[in-house]
Amino acid sequence: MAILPIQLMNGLFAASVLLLVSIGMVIIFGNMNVVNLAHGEFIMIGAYAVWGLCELGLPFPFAAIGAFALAAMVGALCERLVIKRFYARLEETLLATYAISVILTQIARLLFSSMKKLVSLPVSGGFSIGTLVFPAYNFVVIAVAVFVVLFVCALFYKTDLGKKIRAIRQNRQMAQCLGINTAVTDTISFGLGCGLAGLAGAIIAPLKIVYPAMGSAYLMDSFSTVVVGGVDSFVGTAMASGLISESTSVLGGFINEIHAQIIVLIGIVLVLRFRPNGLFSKEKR
Amino acid sequence: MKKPNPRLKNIPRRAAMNVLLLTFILLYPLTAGLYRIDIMAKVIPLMVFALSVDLLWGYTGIMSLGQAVPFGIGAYIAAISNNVSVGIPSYMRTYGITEVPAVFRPLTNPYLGMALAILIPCLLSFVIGRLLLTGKVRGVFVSLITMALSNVLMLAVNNAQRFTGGSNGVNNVSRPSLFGHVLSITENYYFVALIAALAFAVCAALTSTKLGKVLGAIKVNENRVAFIGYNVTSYKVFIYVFSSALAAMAGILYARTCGMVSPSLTGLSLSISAIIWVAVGGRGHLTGALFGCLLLNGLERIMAGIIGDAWELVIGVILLLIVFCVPDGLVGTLLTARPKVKGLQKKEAANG
Repeated sequence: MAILPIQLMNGLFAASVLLLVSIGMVIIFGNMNVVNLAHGEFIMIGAYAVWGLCELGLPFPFAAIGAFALAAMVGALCERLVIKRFYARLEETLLATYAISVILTQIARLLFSSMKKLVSLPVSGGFSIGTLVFPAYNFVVIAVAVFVVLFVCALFYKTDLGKKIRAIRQNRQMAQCLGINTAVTDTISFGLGCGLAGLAGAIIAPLKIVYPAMGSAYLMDSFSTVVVGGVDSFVGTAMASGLISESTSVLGGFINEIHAQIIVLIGIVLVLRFRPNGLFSKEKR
Repeated sequence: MKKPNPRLKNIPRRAAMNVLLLTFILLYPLTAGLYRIDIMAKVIPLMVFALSVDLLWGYTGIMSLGQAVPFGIGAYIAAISNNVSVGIPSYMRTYGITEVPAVFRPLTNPYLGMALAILIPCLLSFVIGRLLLTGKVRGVFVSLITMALSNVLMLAVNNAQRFTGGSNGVNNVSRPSLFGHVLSITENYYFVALIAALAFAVCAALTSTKLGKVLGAIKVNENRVAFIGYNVTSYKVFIYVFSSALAAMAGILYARTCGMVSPSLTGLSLSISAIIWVAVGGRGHLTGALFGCLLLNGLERIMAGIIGDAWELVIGVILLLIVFCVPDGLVGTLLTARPKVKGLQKKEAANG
């Protein structure tokens, strides 16, 4: 069974990508209850930002931070202008965020044309475990994913801002009564979610091709990961991304890769149907 | 304020709009060349599709992001049936298939193929509906699950190249034929329009019965309807299956009119487009769905010729404006706005 370690390792790498892509969704969908169909477009913004900043000669880590900042600003702007009017109104949110996604994609297309852009790998070379060699950048991605989860957990559970965001989720009116500026907190947390999506875009840009419609591919993945993980839990999402990617990757080693994807998607549908609170959430009630 | 013409005022606005739409569709071929008639004939099946979305979303409040599933399956079965009824399709021959695969054998009979193109999506929707539309799964989860299902289908269609032609789709589908005569472009236009009109009439009849009222009540407050004693799930499953049948029929018409099908017909973007047509026209009016579909598709074909890709930017802005300014949709606002004000005036007069 020489194939299994490779599949497991690739699965871990894919899980890190999936986790990075969906961690912003945990904040926006899980904590703010906004179904953001433009999530993928913030990933796209991050990818373009890192491409542009690298073209300007900035080293990759700074470009990635710039991507985070740009996506966060665009996200905060969208929240201020559009999203904040539609809290708790599902259908309007869906339509409005879809409109945002179309507009952002088209702006990217007009600015940069549909031409595909390439970002070169910031870390080249391989890294060997035993007899197996893996691209060194894969380990960078895994490390960044772990760091981001720790960072967001610390932010949510150790700082005032995190407390405020959680308080608003539990009871908006009461939070307001206690003097929390809910409007500003909403903007910050939406911006944070979008920024994390942008960071994900920056990290995956060297691995994929950067083009205006690249984001839509990640929308469904991140929704399913977040929902399987239990919507508002960072650790649950981390576990879900591990589960989904590992099973796709390991299954893909034995049967056709598309069949593996189809099987995993059907599994996700069943989870959504029978455990809408996610696999890893404690029973509420 | 100018007083409206009393004779005009007595015509119900909805009927007037329907007549207007019908007249437009009937007279359109007189003003346009064959090319434009053909384009319009491709839009009309999409209007039927919009009707199915309106029944499900506008009337019952179920926002399915996978309505393209029955549409796509219907279109694919119709296209494959049309292909295998005259021989082995070329895409199958490239995979070395020399006789019709056993699964497609029933489709060699065009009538059976047509029936299956509607029955199979209905059966699938019945199973999905029974699983999905129970009390346990609510709101956005229905949307997410249907979205995932449409992803599954698109992956499967893309992957099963031997049977579906993969990303190339199925080509060389002939236009519908009646009594052994393949319809010309103009004849096909009127044929499609006739079926669309029948579909509209059935939908209008359906929604004006008690069933329509129950569906509307489910949209507003599901728990209360269940409390009164209605079996909410079976109503929801019924309308889900019915709208799937409608969508499948639209898919068949679309496939036969376009002459080809491709995997994008099963994907998320078509479902979302249909939701946008309905949102722009106005939810829960049927006429709104037709109008929104016609308006956006018409605009798309005109604008895309002038400004190319930037058209999508315009559609995004239009959608935002609609959500902000006229959340009831264009037709919805036209149909409902004034009577409310009038009722208010009457009330005030009675109170005063």
